[in-house]
Amino acid sequence: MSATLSATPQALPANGMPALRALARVEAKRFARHPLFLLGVAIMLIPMVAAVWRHEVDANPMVGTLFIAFLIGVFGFIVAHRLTTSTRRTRDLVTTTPVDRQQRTLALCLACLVPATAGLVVAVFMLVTAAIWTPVGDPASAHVAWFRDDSAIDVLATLVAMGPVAALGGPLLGVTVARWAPFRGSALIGVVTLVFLTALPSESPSPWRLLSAWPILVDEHVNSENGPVVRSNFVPDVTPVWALGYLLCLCGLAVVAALLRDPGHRRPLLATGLALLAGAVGCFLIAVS
Amino acid sequence: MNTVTLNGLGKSYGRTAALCGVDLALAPGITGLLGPNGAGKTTMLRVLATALAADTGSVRILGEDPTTTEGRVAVRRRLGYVPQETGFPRGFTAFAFVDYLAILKQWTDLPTRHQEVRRVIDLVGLTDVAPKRVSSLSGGQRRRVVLAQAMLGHPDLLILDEPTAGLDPAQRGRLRDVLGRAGETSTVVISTHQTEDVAALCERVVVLDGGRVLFDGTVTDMVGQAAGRVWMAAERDPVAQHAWRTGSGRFRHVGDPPRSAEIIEPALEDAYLLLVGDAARDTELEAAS
Repeated sequence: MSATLSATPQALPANGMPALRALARVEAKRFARHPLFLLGVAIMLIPMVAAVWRHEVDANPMVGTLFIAFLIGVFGFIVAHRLTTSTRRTRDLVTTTPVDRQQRTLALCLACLVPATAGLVVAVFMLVTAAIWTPVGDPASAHVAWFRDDSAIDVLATLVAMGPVAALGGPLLGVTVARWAPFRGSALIGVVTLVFLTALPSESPSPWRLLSAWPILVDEHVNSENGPVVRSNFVPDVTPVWALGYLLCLCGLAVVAALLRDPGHRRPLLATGLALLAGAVGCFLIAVS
Repeated sequence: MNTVTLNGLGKSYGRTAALCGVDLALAPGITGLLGPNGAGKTTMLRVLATALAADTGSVRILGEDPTTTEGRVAVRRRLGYVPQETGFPRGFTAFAFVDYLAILKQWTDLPTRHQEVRRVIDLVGLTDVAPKRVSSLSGGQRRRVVLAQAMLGHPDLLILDEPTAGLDPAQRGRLRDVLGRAGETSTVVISTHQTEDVAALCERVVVLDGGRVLFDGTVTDMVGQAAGRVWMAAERDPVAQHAWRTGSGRFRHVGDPPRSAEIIEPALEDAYLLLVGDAARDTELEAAS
């Protein structure tokens, strides 16, 4: 140990915003460097590289979003959960700093933009490759949703809702579960529940499938003999744009739920939560009407 | 001027009283906190570090009331804390961990923060291992990582719960130098079982037992209380409260000496043993009567 005690000027900010930004940057880096997140991204790169290699995209547009939702969304759930609970071991240290747990939770929620961005990059890749090598049905005259003559808004809304929003929602849920159920094994229970909630209503007739944790907004019809997509259509009775709004409101609710674990800012959080709840209900009703 | 004032401080865990009406006022300088296991030392330090709220009594730290959110944040901005035990989040290097804590202490300007992190890491002699993962460091090095984060920003109140645990003699010597310098301007409270550290560093010593203050005064006063109650003899004397064979082959005794005893100069450890031993005997007598 050296005995250097020379003073370093310290400028403490008057409010917590700069600290929140700095903390969010650190948490984002931790998320981006987490082995499980990197593994998910690496696995996802395989079909992407294969698509470029073969100069064609899968006629089934759901596969790409499924990859995003599972490899980034579900893996991201675990990563976010682990990052959130990682400071449990240093509880006495972190609780005696001026940045309280609510700010740390918010920083973790902001770090969830990392998987969302990764999901967005993949979605953009899907769009670009589909624009270059248009997916076709079998036979070629069969309608394949997303990349034909459907409304661009609907295509984008569906792609974003099933891809990047799933990549955002999974990790946000991970933070929420970690805050409310910080015991060992809650990540596993959370993942199983998430997959269960995805699988159970996804086969329901529309519009109830919108209640799934990962609503499938495209109906696929696959040739039972050789597997390729015969045709695909948007789910009838569901408006993709409003479905996207509904899912974004749910993401916001997950953030509010995570922040409500701590006593600070109760009123504005509850007001925001109620507004988001109203928004979610409204979007859902409009989406299925 | 007092920086810490405790009046009638009480804290219980269920039916177990950890602190019972502790009155204490601390000024800049180094105060040693001694006491047997379960005496309430860690509870008191956690209250001072704003990690724990008192059940009864009033607490004033650095002129702030830690029961209010604003007061707690104000205290935490000027606080350095080394808890008794702490874990580390996985994957952090020593530098990254201290940097993370620096962000939580609202050091937001990156160059200034990194300069300060390098300073405290150098201060505790960890410059060489700063890029290494904390999980690969030895117990003593990890302890110094925790100490480094406590020194960030020259805190006005430095609370150290067994800071020398796991340190070799050379490291302990250097730590004394660092803490001695910090104690020139800040209020430093050290809880330890190493009476030689207290004797070497502290101008004031507080002994806790059963959640109550047994002694509060200077080291010299405490040692003076043991004058005439420490003796050497060739054989073990059964009347002594404590006796042990020294390296010279003779027996050192602490307690009420026989008339012909060879009285020697007491050390702080002797005084501590007598103080705690007498208190235990008084309690037994009270219970018997």
